[in-house]
Amino acid sequence: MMIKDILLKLPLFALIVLIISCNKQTPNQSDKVVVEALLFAGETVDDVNLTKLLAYGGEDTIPKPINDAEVSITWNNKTFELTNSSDTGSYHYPFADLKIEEGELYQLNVNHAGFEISSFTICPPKPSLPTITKDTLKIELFSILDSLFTGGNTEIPDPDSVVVEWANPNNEYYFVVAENVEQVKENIYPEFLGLIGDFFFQTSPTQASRYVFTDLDFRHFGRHEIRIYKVNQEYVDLYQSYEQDSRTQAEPITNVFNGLGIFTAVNYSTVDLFVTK
Amino acid sequence: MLLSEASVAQLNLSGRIVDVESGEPLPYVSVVNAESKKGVSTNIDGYFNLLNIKSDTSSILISYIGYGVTKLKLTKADFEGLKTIEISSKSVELRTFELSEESPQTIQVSKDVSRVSLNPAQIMNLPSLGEVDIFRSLQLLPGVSGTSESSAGLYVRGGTPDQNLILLDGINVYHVDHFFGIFSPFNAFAIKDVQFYKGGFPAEFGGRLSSVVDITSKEGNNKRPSVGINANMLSLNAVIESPLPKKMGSILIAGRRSFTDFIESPTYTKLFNNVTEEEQDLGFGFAGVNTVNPDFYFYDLNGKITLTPSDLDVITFSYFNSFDKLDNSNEQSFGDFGKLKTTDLTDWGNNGYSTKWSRQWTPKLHTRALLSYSKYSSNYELTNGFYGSDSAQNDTLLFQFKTVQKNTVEDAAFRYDITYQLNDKNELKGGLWYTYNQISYLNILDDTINLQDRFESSNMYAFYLQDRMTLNKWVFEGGLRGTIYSKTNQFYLEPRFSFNYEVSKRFRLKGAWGIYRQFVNRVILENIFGSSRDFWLLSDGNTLPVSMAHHYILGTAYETKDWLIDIEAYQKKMTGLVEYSTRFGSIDDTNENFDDLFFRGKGVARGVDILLQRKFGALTGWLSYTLADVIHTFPEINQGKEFYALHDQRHEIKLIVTYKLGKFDIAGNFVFATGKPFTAPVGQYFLTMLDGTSRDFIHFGDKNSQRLPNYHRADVSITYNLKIKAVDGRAGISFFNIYNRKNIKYKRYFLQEFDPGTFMPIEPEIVETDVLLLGFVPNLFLSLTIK
Repeated sequence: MMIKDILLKLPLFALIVLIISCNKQTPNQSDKVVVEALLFAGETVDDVNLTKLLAYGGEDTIPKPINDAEVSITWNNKTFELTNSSDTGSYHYPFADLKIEEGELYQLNVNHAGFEISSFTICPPKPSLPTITKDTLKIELFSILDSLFTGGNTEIPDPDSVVVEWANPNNEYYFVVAENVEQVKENIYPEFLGLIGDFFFQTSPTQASRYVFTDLDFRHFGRHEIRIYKVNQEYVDLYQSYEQDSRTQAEPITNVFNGLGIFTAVNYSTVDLFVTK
Repeated sequence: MLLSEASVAQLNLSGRIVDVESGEPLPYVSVVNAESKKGVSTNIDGYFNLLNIKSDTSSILISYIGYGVTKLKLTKADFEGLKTIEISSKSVELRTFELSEESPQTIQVSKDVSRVSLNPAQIMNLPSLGEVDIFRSLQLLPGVSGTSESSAGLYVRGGTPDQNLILLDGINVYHVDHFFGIFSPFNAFAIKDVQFYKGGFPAEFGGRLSSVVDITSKEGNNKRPSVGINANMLSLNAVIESPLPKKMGSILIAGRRSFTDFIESPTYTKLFNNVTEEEQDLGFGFAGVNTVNPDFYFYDLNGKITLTPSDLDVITFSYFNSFDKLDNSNEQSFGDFGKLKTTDLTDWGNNGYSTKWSRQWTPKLHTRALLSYSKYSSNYELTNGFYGSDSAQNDTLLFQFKTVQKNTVEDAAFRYDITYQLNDKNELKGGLWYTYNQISYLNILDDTINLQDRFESSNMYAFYLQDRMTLNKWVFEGGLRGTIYSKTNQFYLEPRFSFNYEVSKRFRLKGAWGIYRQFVNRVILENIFGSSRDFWLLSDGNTLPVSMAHHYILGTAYETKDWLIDIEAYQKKMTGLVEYSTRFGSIDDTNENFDDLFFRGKGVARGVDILLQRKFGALTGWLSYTLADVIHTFPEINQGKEFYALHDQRHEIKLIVTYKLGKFDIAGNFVFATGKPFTAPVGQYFLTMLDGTSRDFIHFGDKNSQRLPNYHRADVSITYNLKIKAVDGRAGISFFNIYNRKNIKYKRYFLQEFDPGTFMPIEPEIVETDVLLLGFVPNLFLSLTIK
């Protein structure tokens, strides 16, 4: 009787119960498109890749490429349609009328399965020509274990090291890559130690104006092209350290609207380095 | 005849209610005219003034939590001057009293909207997590989350712990987590009274959005010295009380310190491991390399001196201090290659003082002047130093990384309150409240990234006016609070209103509405274990807006001598909420971009709290149910769509029982709650970087769209009460989570790229880990008071 009275006199309770009980439905987001698009200053567009998200708990182990998307890049008020010439989800524009130039704005548009995806980037300026303390780095296999502890990016007198420097008065972000350009690659380490090189020594964007190369930065002997890339913030964002747990929406930062991944332009300068025994 | 009626109508009873044993004045005691049923409450110093008593042979009913209800037959002499009335919490018969049979209660639900009194003496019998704790006990009330094991802070009706105004003798306490939030820093043995407002609180309180916890510490026994010693599996606790010479007043000193840095009891190990396992799981990169056990201790101190220069004046000096320190430093040797030395120091604590002078100028006029200072500080320092060995085996520093986080909040305040009882229908209250806040925050990451270095201050000038009007069966309380805040240079008005309507002797309706504002914000630093690394910042009206809440409360209660059913429905609309995240913005090395890490939004919390309380017999306790939801909307988070707040919990049921069996008190509580929300991964993707390496990412779905499993646990305690001559004692055992329910705190995801056994590369896959809350935790306790 008492409870009946209360409920009759206070319909607010019932109303709140009703409102709260109506849980909201959330849309399925597993169909999102992953964009991986890099524009290199002075080069044609050849590096726009689209894949599907690898669903959590699904049977697939590698992401499925998207080959049926409409992809275009808008520059200077003109739109350039990209074509897909393979089944790997790779799109390109092989003509020179789409110029990737310093300071220019580029917009990427992707239309796929109802998703309208867009992103834009600005081509950064070319880095200053790097200087190098010497053009040859001598590697002794026995020094590897010593270097293992001290790390490849630390200037130490022994083992041998080479310093590459470039101008960076405003502490902007750069990314350093050493690419072996030999036709036939000769391994520095025995096969079983090759994994160590992969595991430990990966570079990340830096605000420094120098990089110290030691033996552990290389896996092959021969000529290397040292590339100093000027990178944009969207590229740096990919390297931010994330703890991903259920308490927050631990989403990596992306500059792709309505999609995932990255669309960015880079510019680079090079210098040669020879790695010898 | 007319003369006689007139003289009868003018009978007023002025007095002070004190405890019979200690002589301490008792605040918030209900004093009711037994005939007219009209009553008043004692003020903070125990004074009351009951007007218009018709006969000098009338009776009054005095009720106070833990003391039951007592009936006092008045005599002519009682109306002459200020009467001191002594009441007892024990069943001993006093000369002028008739004792009711109501059992002492742990909680007392006020007739006022959303207000509950907690009896610190009675919570001693409840199961505890090592320490008897006021805040853990408040978490057993409806409308307060009972599942936040890792924080002593209160999630009240959809609010967060920083939205609660915590006052200890007027000291504004900013941080209530002791021992990583397992309990609060308030020593229950030194606390006399706790008034808890879950919402709709009156205009005399301000500066917070959700609730008020107004704690009054003990003044100390002003009749005879006494010493209390309490021990459990974590700490030792001593309380010394004594009257001052020449009946000048009393003094109380209480100190509690853990012995965890000397003796690691099973209780400590269980609790500490739950915290540190989480830290290791968070993957700072050095998990499992400790060669030295972490060193942890905490302490807290309470002191109070009460001077009574006259019957009408009370001057108190209060001191409060709490401190926690964790030294998790360690060293790992790599043989001839060198060493990794990690210095990992965390400490946090509160320091506060207050001086209060209150005076009962006339039976109708009471004033209180309060000067208070409070400082909360937290410090975290992590240094990883890599050392090589030279030929002489001396350590040589090769390089090091240092991360520093320091936050201090200082609060200096002056309050002046005036209470004037205009007549038997109106009680006016007004006051001024000035607060100076000073906050500093330093956050340096890896020695190089100066995420934040802030130093800021503000002045707040507030006033309030309120009237409590009693008209037959109605009680109205209307008030207005105004605040000038220097950081925004604006004036803010906060009207408040509440009512209580007595439909019948047992049945009443109640409601409240009000606007509430908050000028300081605690920012949650994500994914860092413990609660000491959150930091406070002042609202600036821009990056950190002044937050605001509208409270709407409607309720009813049906109360008999033995039972109470209390139901309240509420809605709390909040604006100016702030979230801080490094996920949605980007960390840069410049201070300018730091503000991009703050996100502003709004929220709404709705719910119904139902309480059924049994107040008689050997078995007492309550059953509560809460139906609630908390929805947030942030334009820049979750694509601007609504999402459930992390502390949203749809259903919560709590059962708390205490049973008296001879000299034994057996207590138990059971908590059941549906799961809290979490953000689940939808899939993963890979990007090839410029150097040819691949980076792997997890894509999450809509924020907080999934639910953790239901939470439940049962706690039990058995207490044996002993008395040997002048020694009163309690000894017992307590079991937390007695059936070892594995409740989930949160889920953690990472991409596993290497086989954990062979360390060979594998196709990356998302690995899900459940981070658990506390399992079964036993505890022993002993408490002795020597008088």
